[in-house]
Amino acid sequence: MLNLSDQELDRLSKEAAEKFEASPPPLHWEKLRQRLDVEMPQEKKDNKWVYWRFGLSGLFLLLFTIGVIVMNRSRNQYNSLSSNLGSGSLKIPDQTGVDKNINLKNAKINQPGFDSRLSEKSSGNLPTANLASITANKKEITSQQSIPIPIASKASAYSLNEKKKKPGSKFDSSNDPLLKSSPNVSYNVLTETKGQSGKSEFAIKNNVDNQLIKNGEKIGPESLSARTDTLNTIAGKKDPVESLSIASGNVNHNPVPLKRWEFSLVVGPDYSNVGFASPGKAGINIGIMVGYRINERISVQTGLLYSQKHYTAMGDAYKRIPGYNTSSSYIKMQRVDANCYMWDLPVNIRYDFLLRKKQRAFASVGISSYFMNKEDLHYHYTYYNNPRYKAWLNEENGNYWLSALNLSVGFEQRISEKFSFQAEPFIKLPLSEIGYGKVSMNSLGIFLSLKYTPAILRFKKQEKR
Amino acid sequence: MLLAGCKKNDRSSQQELYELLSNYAMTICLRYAENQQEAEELLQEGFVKLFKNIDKFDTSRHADILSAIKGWFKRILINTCIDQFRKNRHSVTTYSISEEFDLPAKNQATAVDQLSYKELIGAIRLLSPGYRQVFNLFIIEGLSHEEISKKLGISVGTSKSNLSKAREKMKQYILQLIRIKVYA
Repeated sequence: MLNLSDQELDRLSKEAAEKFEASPPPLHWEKLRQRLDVEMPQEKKDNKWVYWRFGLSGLFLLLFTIGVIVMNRSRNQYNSLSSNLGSGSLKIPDQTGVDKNINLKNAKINQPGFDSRLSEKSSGNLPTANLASITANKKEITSQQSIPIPIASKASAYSLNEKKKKPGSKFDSSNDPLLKSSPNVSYNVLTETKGQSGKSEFAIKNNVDNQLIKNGEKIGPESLSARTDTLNTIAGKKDPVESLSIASGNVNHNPVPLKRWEFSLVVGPDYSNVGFASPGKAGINIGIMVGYRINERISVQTGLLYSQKHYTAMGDAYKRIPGYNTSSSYIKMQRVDANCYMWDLPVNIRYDFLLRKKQRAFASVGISSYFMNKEDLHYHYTYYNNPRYKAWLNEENGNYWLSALNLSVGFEQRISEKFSFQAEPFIKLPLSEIGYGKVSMNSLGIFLSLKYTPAILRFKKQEKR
Repeated sequence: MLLAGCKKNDRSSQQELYELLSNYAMTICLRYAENQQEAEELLQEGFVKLFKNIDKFDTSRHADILSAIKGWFKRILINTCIDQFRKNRHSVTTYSISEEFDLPAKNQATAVDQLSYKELIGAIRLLSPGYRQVFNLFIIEGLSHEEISKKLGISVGTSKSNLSKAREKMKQYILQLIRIKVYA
């Protein structure tokens, strides 16, 4: 039998109790945290900042988009004006994006302020009064000038041409005493091309006739201005751009395909790292993207990508080990190998800087939000200089809003009318720390996309020269 | 800073304090618990009590705050373990030792020294709950039989008796361990 005294047993037991050290299992803190969340819930103060960031970013995107649209419209108007002045037709898009022409062919305008006024028009601010004032500046209307007349309905377009009677004219100026009294000018309102009832035309004719006859005097610039206003009233047009809109030729209402929306299937390798250390093994991105084309060059893209990201974090880059105080001197992190499974919600703006018939080159910038599904973590560390290894599967979801800045350039090749192939190398830079270990993760890779661009039929007015 | 964060129910501060104290606390819980699972439950319960009552810990009264909070937390844990014991109220049973291992060791002093802390703690955990509580409280925590009797709700005589029997059992377990090592 062992001859061990009570005192010796007590000493051994006390010593063992003091020096023996056990550690809780890896997931113990997570279980405790879940219980604390129930019994001692936290105030959601952190969410405020998240909402603020989200809101501000959304506002920024909205303002940017509006700005791009407004600038683009203005530029298009200016370009149309500039390019068409020389060719004799003024093209102005109306509110529906459909162009209407003002025929300036043969117009001889010698007023010094005319160009500057058109420039004002190009910024969308030229009201009817401006044109009236152009007219007013001329003491007499010359025989070569075309005067804009407001259209009577959305689909209507009239041309006012000098001394040209066309078949089907509904408004014959030869019987107009006022026009006779002003021999250099004749008004010739063409028939509407399609779909206009004779009633509205008759109404316009009568009203114009009445105005002209009532005045009973030589037409001057003021009376022309008044006529314009009157016709505006008749036509119910308040938009000055609409008031200027006169088509020079026939108008067809044919369905024209507009390619605004783009849908892409995306797949590609992902190489992630922390602190630009050596990347882990290749991961994958796969998902769908949807784009909306604002204009020929700019589009907004969003979508949902499922991402597997594998990375290795060295030393202090990884901040937490479950169950251990990583700031302790006796624990030194060597390396963490992590496999992350997450959803990526990007919102990007794309600019196409190279446009060819079948190719496009583009650059894109945006922000990604990550939604963590699970993390497979492998810790390599030393505990009192003894190498240790711990593996842990963290299946707690984490939402990391606006946590990465997306930058990419790419090349798009059309392979058919509606399909194109796209290769887009990208980099995702961290805006905030993500995952259990609070790592600042970069991602590099390439998105390979098959893009489908459906043609959406819209009724667009087409010119016939 | 850490305790201030815990008092504000800040989860990251609580995690830091957990990581600072969890090993120390787990060691205590293992000595009192019936098994690993019960030790983990006791540990969790102890931390919940710690965080809920952290306001009561007065940092201004202690020069060494870490030692002070360790001592305070140890009392919380032991009370938690005792509460668990009283809830279950295990019967005081003896652990039968097979006679085939009841042979004298050749060199007892050397053999005892070869026992690891883990084996000694393992031996304490082999004691039946009634013996184990008294052994822990009297030998390791340093409580008197009067204090133990009040905490466990037993008489002073039962406490003394359990301690005596616990010591005998411990000696038997240690002898077993030594023999296994010798014949291994």
